[in-house]
Amino acid sequence: MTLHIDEALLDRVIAATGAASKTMAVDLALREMDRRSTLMKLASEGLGLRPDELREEIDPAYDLVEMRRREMPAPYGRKPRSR
Amino acid sequence: MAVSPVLADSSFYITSMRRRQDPLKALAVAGASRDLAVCGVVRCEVGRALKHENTRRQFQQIWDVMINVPTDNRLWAQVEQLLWTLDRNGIIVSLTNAVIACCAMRIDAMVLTYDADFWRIPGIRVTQKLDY
Repeated sequence: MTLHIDEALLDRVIAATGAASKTMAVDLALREMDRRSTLMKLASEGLGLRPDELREEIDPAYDLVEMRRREMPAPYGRKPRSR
Repeated sequence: MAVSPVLADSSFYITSMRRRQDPLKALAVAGASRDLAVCGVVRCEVGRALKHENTRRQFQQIWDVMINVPTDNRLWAQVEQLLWTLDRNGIIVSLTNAVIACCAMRIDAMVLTYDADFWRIPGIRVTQKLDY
């Protein structure tokens, strides 16, 4: 396989990524392009659910805010109230 | 100059779906100009809220191709430092929010969230909107 690649561009990619070789730099760049295009394809397609199905997909008993609130300790320095 | 990535918090995914909106399609808007990121806490918090395996798989697929911020020992040290500092300044935040905030700081990402507590954490950029 013969590739014609802009040498200055390849040098910049090697410098930016720390790739150990030109082959590795090309491999990294292709993988990154593949990742980005897959990401955009999946995001654009969405979940494929109707509006009501989106709402019903989340367990109604799941209360994220309350779970996070319960994680919080009493403010620093305040002793818990004794019984 | 590179544009900062967006790290969507669990509250964004969950609130969007409860509002009958597809969070992935909303992220596609941001993704056109910015990279998208996720971290282990968000994956776990959203994943456990989903009813069906198929939907979980769809989320896993897209999360796998986002920037996954590693929760390594260095990050845990940053989280500990952040919590220690905030506690002593009277700012109490949950451990999960602190982890997500430190993940965002690690990659200089903007946090997309509906959880108001993130606005109390100094050093991170927070937004509720995706109109880039």
